[in-house]
Amino acid sequence: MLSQNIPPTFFPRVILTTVLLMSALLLVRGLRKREPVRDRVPGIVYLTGVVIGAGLVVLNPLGIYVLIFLMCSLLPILWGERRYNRVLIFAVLTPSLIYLLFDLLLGLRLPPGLLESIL
Amino acid sequence: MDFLSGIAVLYDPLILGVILAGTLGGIIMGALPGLSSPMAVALLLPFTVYLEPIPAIALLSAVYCAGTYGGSITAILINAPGAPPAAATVFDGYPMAAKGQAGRALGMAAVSSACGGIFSLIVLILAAPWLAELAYAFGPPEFFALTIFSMSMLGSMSGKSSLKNLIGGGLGVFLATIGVDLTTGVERYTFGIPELYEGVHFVPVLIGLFALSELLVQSSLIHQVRERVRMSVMKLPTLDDYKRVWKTILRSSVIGTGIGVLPAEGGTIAALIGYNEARRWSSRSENFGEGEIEGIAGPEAANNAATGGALVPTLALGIPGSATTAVMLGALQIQGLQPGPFLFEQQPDLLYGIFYSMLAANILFLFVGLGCAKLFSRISMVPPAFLWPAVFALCVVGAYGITESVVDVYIMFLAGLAGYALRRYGFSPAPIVMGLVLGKLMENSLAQSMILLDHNPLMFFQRPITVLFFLFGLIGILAPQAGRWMRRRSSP
Repeated sequence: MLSQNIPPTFFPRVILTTVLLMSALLLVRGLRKREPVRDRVPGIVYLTGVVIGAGLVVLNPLGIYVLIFLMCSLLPILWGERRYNRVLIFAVLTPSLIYLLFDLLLGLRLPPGLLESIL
Repeated sequence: MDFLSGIAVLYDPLILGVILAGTLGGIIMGALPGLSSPMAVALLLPFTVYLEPIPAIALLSAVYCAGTYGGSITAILINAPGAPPAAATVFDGYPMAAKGQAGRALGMAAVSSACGGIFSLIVLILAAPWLAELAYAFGPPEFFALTIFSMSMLGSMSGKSSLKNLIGGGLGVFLATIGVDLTTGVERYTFGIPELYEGVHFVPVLIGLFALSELLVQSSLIHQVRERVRMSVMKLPTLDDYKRVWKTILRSSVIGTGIGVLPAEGGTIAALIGYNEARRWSSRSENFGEGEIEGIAGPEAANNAATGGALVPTLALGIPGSATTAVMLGALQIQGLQPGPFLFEQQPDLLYGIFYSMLAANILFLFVGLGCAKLFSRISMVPPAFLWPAVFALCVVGAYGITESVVDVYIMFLAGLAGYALRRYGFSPAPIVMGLVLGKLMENSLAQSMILLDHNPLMFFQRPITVLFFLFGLIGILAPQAGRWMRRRSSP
């Protein structure tokens, strides 16, 4: 193989094969050990992942600022924060600061989405 | 001459302001449990695009140095290291704080960290140009062998299993092969997505693996109550304390710098070795774990010394010395700079600017750390329910900011989910990032080597430097296995 020009498939395949061989070795080693008792993934982790994933699915129509507002309101409540006035202030302040710092100061144009007519 | 001219950067108010901001930001990020220095540097990286090269790298360098120190604040005050390199500081830091000596512990952490950082910078200033001279003897085969050696060193990187680290590194290298192959122009694993033609940018992967996966981890710890030691009086270390620890600081500085220079090794291993050696050489070794001040000086000097050490291979050879320097390597590339010997020849002002910025950061955090330790101790108590959604906002902006593509935000999310799953099964995110950064260099140097060596792989073994690195690589892979075998034999 190496006596000719290296085809584009060569390097990734060598790496994948090496990873697979090492994984097989890990598996064999694992068979000799007793399976450690692992706590179940807490429901809150799934919920957090789903909320973030769902937010990102609608990132294009919503825009980054609305997405950040939503996440900064939903995640604290999801994680048990019950001081709603603080959550609201935080949810408004975070995207506002990001707009000031990145859009106005650094000139990074973030997707405005729903706020296109205002920003 | 270049060495002296570099000091001019410290007269630039913008650079000084950036260093001060980076130092403050680094300490704060380091002090927040869960926010490590690679994560802090990764989150800041997209925004350095808008700065000139020297302030951009100065900002990241300051965050790197100060973030490593910042981790010790939470280690001492709330018994939880703010960042992995501060893990060994917990052993004696928290017991000291519990005895009402929090100020003494924090003061010693600041002084030892600054001493370690300054020592390693002196080594960096002296060794990096010499190493760069040596690097002129490097051709593609030598670079290929060096990447193999660097990958092998992942085996001994911090983490539970050397094999898992190597698998993680391999996955990172594989990710680096996505996109158009530079030699043949053939698309690989792009699935027709145009945004992937240029490959997977490492910044979104990095942010996802470090920051988003940590957010998911933190979501499950949200109700964990952390005990906090109140600091009523800020009593600093005495002259007697310094007389007692100066040898420990010096020893740990040498250890940390040496460990940092090795590719892939970083502050965490340096700190653990620094702590063990401090205990081994101490006349009060029996007090370790119960609040011994040498138990703070040892790991703190070592983990900060590793920061300068890790920059030696990064700047001289373009091979990252740690996960954070892997990100900084990316920052240099984003700025259109290619680390290596030519950088020393063509941009000496930039390099000495980086060195002096780091020196300034180390001196600054000594004063800021000593003066504001009480204030920073409050920062560590920011409610996670507010902290992590703010980190998420930075993740989204950071992932989007590099190429201004929403696809990168999705890549960040997928990397975050994968990172969480991998961490759950004992895989550390750092080797994946190192693999992703080294992957391109590895493949390109292999392709160039084969052309240079007339497609005869045996000719790799006719070049002394190449053979040396292959041998080191072999030792790097076998050493952790041999260590485990010997431990098993010696245990009853």
